[in-house]
Amino acid sequence: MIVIAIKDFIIRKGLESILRKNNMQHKIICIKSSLELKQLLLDERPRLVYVDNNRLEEFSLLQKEKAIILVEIFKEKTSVHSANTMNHILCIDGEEVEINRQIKQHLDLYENSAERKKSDSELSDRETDILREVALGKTNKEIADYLFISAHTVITHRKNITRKLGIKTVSGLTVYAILNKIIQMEEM
Amino acid sequence: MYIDKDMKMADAIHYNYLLLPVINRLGVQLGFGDKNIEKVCQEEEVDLDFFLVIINAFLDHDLNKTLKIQSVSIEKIVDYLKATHQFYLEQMIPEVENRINALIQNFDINQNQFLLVKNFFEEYKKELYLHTQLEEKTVYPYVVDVYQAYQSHQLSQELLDRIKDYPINSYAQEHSDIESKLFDLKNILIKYLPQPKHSYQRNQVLTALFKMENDINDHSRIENMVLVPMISEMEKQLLTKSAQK
Ligand SMILES: [Fe+2]
Ligand SMILES: [Fe+2]
Repeated sequence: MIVIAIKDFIIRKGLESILRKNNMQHKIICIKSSLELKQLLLDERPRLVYVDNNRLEEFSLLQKEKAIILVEIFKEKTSVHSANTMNHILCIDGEEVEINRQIKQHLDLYENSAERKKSDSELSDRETDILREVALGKTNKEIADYLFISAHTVITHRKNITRKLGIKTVSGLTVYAILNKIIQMEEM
Repeated sequence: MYIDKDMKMADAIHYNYLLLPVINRLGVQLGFGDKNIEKVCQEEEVDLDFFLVIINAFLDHDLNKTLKIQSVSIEKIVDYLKATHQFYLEQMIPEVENRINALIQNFDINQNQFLLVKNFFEEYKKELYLHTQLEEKTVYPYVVDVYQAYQSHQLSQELLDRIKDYPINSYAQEHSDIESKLFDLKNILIKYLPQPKHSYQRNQVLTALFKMENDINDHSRIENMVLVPMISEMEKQLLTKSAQK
């Protein structure tokens, strides 16, 4: 998921349409306030976030914790940027070619972040264990007891499973588990 | 984009063809030539304002557009919601079913996979049926009763008890979700069934599901954002009035 958290409406919309052109497969979300952004960061795991340059401070902690790529927006070129921050900024005073070059760098970073590959799609072994029990019709409590973990942990795993697979209901998860041979039809 | 009364009915359809079943439910059938919306509604005896708020809320999910539906009478809204249920049960469900059956006829998937999909949708169909029955047998009649009591300032003891015991908000809390299963089925077809030789048959199922989901989203929005808050407000006022007596 890519998030655009920029106050300026025109910049927000402009960046959104450029990103959409370059990048069809990822979800893009636009938000106005930093409050909304904080909430979003708590609920979801965006990997690439565009913010105004004066708001970077607020999110630096989150960045470390969740391995988010934060890109600062600058209205004009400044000389303060060192080489290693160069690909974490976007100067919007360039022409199309220049803007696209910068954005491509951000998207490359995003695509290559190991974190994304690991956690965005494939289920972990633990999640697969839990999916198996869910598909067999067990309740959260039963799963927790069976796997010696708390019910709260089960719920967190279930949320992640749903997010990764794009399947919300128990019947849907059961179909997925059968198709992927996590459970057999006869076990039902 | 705001659709207004001067727009040609045909242009509204060209703008977004998903409006087709919506205008049908509102009482407009095809064959309207080049007439504008106002004229067509007049001839078909369809309430123009109602027509406009419904189609605009359908096209634009902005909350304010949806809230505009509150300006029309509850009876009209309920009739529209019922017609929508009917459309799901009599048209959309059979359409999806036929297209799912075509998957096996065309060897798009094997017998076991077919049964998984078929049973999954069968389950959904039952859920949808129970959901709409509950609304039509209990919720909507109650909604109309509250509205009439509110209009006529006459509140029977029976209705008063009902408001106290089972107000509209308890329905809202239990209002079950009839979208998630559709969402799941879409992903199963898009991502998780093994690759077919040709995707055409599967696309057919998917397009029907996308259409249905879009329509159901609109329907649930009207129930949750329009009906529930309106009735809840009327309940409150009826209760205060009866307490004053
Ligand atoms: Fe309904
Ligand atoms: Fe409903």
